[in-house]
Amino acid sequence: MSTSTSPHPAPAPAPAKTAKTSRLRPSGQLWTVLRLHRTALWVWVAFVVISIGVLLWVRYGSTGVDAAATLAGCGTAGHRACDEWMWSDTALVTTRDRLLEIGQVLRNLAPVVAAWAGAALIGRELENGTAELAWTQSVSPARWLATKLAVPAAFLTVGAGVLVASYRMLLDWSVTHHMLRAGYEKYTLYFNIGPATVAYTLLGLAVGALAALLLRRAVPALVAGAAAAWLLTVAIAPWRGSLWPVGAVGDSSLWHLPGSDSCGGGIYNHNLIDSVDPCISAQPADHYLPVQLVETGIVLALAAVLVLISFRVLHRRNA
Amino acid sequence: MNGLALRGPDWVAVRVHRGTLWTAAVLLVLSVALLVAVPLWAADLAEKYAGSSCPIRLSNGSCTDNTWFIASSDWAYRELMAKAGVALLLLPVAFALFVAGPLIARELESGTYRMSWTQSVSPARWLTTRTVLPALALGAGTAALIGMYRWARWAGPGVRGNWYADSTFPATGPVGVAYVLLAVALAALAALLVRRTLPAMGIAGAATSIVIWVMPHLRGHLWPTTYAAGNSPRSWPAGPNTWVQEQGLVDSSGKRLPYDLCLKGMTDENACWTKNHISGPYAVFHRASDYWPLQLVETGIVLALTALAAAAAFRLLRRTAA
Repeated sequence: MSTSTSPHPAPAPAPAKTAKTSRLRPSGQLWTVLRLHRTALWVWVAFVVISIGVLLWVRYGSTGVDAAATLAGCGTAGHRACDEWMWSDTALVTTRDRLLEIGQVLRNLAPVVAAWAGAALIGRELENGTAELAWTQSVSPARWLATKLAVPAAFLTVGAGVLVASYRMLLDWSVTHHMLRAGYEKYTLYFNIGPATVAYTLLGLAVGALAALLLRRAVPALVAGAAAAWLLTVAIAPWRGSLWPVGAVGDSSLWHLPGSDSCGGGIYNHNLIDSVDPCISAQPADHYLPVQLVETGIVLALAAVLVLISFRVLHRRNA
Repeated sequence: MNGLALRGPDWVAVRVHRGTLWTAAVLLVLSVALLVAVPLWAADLAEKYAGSSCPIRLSNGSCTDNTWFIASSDWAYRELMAKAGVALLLLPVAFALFVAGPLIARELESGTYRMSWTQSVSPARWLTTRTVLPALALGAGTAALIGMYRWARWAGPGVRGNWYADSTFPATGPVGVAYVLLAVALAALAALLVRRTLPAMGIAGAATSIVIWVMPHLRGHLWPTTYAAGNSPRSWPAGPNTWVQEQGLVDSSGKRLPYDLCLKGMTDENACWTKNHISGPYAVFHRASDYWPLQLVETGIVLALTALAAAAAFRLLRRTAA
């Protein structure tokens, strides 16, 4: 640890000198958190900026333009049916693969955030004792933890929010151009990314913090936090289909694609053949918002409970 | 027995990390058990119901519960193979985190390495314990898992991933072991560069991730491809189980044209074919028999990178210790 990052209390006369010039500069505990975790902050900002660059490239790069051109006018008189292209056009397949890959990254932010929060944000300070030092400098433990959680939560919410909004715009573009296969991809892509994605990153933060407070060591908290966040994400995902009543049989809005036969409680589609049962969890596209909002609520509630437990644990340790 | 027993610094390293080692051993046993049980279970059920009139994969509610049961066993098998492939792909990243952080950088950060170095353990010996020993153990464990994965692919029912798929290729051959060795070398280099636990873990994890993300993009170019052209419009020249690198149409003069020349915005494909004198489609691809050459060339490249990283790490150590 270099000297610049250790939370030395500023000498008493210094603030008076700089007070005028730094009205915009955050003070006290907030400044400490920003300064201490500036590397992580820049990594996050770089991640968000680069991801947006990649999203723009997927859409406006030659491959994306090509894929859109291939499908232009599909399904209308004098053109092929839209689903005839699904497997044959390289540009289309590549664009869809990129969408899937970026979605995969966005869906797996929680374990990474949890690893960072468990190790660098909280665990390291508890392990090397700098947390105790802060608590003697007129920062109460509760205040310390609150700032430690609030600052990254703000950055995560804004960054993930911007990413999700950009991704949804890209997804809308691909839906308008009939690039998604019915069923399977609408299920993995369309229903997967939204406000709930932001909630999952916050859940990751809460999980990491709790792991660090329980274990009080950086590396074990890193492993436990990441594993717990990943397990929670995996455990919640299969319930997504049951968060909202499925569409009625024969509902024409289901999957919006020709070639679907009705089956069981939903719609069967040939392209779903890779999943266990094309009929389970059939949700029409316009159920997107209700499903997302219910999921967001559940994930946020879970995160809130974990934060509450974290404060409890902190209180017990210091009582 | 005495010949195998660990001595000196090796014993210390194993003793310090016994918790992690036990966890890893338990995970290894669990993974092997899953890779044995699920394919056998799924294959057994698929065989039992092969003769029944109920389709196995398409449960539409008209068949009995057994259909659903088989469907889920089949699904469990496929999911296992897909997830295990991805897990084997990501294993080097986890190993890099462990070697860079707890194994090397933590000692450098806390200063316990000085204590070792004064106890008649030379710096080079100290680093050897922390690189060669994990490389041997992790490499052997990964090789065992890859062997199990290959067996499970063969023993299970139904569709298996393509041999060239990004998450199948490293899970079925020596390349997977080579990546583990590279991860250990990169981890040692990162740890000696920054000498702090968490940054070293971050850098080692990122470096390993970049390598396993970049290599699949180069893979197709590592061995000569085969060119074949069909002589009628609908004859696909590449056989089944081939890894297509490039495809298109070829005209009577042998000129290669884009494959979608006669597809975009047109409905009368035949007229377009005649107009452009197209003799048939062509494909540039790897045959399934290219699997081993591709594996070996990539293994060689990854091992060369490993040697470079390891040499750099030991040089760095010599400078640090001097």
